[in-house]
Amino acid sequence: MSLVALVGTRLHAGETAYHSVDAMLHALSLGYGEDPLDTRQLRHVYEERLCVLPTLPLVLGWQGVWMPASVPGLALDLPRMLHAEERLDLPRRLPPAGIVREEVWVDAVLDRGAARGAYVHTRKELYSENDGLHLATLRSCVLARGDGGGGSAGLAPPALEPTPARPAEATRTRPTLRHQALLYRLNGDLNPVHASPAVAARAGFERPLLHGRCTLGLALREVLETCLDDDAAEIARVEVRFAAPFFPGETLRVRIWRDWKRIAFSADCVEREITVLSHGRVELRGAKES
Amino acid sequence: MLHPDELVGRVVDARTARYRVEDTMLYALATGLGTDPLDPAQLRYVYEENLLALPSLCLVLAYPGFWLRKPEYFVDWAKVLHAEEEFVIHAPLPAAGTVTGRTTVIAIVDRGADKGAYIHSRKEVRRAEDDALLATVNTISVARGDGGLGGGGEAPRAATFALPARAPDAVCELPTLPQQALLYRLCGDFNPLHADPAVARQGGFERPILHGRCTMAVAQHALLRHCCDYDATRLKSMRVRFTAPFYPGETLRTRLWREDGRVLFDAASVERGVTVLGQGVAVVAAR
Repeated sequence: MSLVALVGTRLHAGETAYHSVDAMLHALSLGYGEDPLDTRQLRHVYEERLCVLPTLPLVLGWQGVWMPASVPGLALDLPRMLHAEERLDLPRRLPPAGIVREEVWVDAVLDRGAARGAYVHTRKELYSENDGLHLATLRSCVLARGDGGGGSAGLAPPALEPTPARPAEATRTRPTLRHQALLYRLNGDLNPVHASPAVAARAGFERPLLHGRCTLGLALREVLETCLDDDAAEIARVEVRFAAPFFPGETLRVRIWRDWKRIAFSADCVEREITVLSHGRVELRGAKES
Repeated sequence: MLHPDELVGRVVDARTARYRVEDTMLYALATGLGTDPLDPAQLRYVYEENLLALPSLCLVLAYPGFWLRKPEYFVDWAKVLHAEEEFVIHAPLPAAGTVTGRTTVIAIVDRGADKGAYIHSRKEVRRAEDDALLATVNTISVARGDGGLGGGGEAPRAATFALPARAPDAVCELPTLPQQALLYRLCGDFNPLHADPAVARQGGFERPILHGRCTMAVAQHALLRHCCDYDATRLKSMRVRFTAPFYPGETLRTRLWREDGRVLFDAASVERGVTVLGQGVAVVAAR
């Protein structure tokens, strides 16, 4: 089976129950609670009046898209896959616990040639199991570095908007824990490249890297605290490009530009002076009307 | 409190619990393993390949919760403190599996109406498929508001010992995270005392305290590092007395003395210079 043949097919459908413990673990794995007396942080890590983060849908349900056994007959060069882009639409806020129904589709494959790999666009739809309400759409783009040359098919989402060229309006830095990835993987993405030094080395990294989605969650936290008074319910859409790997223990510097209902962000690694997140956009509710 | 005659011997909780490798890894991360993610010795406890369960995982498996709070026992639960904890490993805990836990009241030791009573309980953790005994957990709680009712049962109380006069054979300082208690609660002990600043103040603490069992597990990390070469299968038992609260974010200094087959230890908060674990005894098997 080839990648192109997957375009337009549903890779997976299923149901997942989640609990407040999952929502709290998600927040703790993003560093919330490091000031345990800060009531704003406690709202995300303590079950009383628990407030779910907008990135929770990213870790709910099936994480197996690029796990070896997930598609019978499809042999991909898994260690050479990189998470390239993420687009998250949030029509409504998730409750602190519930059951979600999910469907995962392959939308497009964009071939870059045998030497450069192929972009694979997948889409995950999340619905509330009890009333069928649409909760989230996650569009993920993975660069399959070892699987190019098989041709293109399908329609990829519109290109992401570049990071603004003008100076940022706010800059925030945040240290990470050396074992941040070990914690983050307990959200469900157990890809060993984030834990095993040997697997990371085989994939071409000096050591296990942080999940791109964790880096995104860290950056989004700065956006929430800087622009939105920590009100996650205002966020309707998030987009980002994973520009380079970020390693647990490094310091993240987040740059933020605010333009009414639209916020742009990027992030770089302070120690290596390299951009790790680019093309970051947060759209607030009501942005389309304004 | 219910009369000791009615309480002693009672099975206060029985449950079956399935746990996954994720639970075993979360427990290790929540007790401070993996802070050096490139150390293969620590990685064995926080990464599913060749995963080893920490012996103290038995403390949270099939955890009965704060059963003394149940109304049928008529305990002045707000005045209950955790006094001592011991686990004995009979067979290595699997990295994942299904276990049963049965918690029984073993004995009540009365200290008089003004001082309360010690409540000794025991949890047996067994492998569900063949009922093989994996671990025994002995807990002593002090119910400060329930003294004067007399005692009952046979309290398996070990004699109090003095630490050797010589310098410790090893001293291990392990920092904890400010959010350590918030993480540890996800292993199953959701007592708000460990998360809610208001509840902690009501309990007489300046801020939420770390779970005693988590502090014990941090001391276990010191034992693994200095007495077991990070081979948890060598740690056969561990006992501590909780002498003072320990706060998340503090550094735990564990002093260890190796004595013919046993390790004696205590542990203190470096920042406050207060001993938080006393009467520490562990049995470590030879390599």
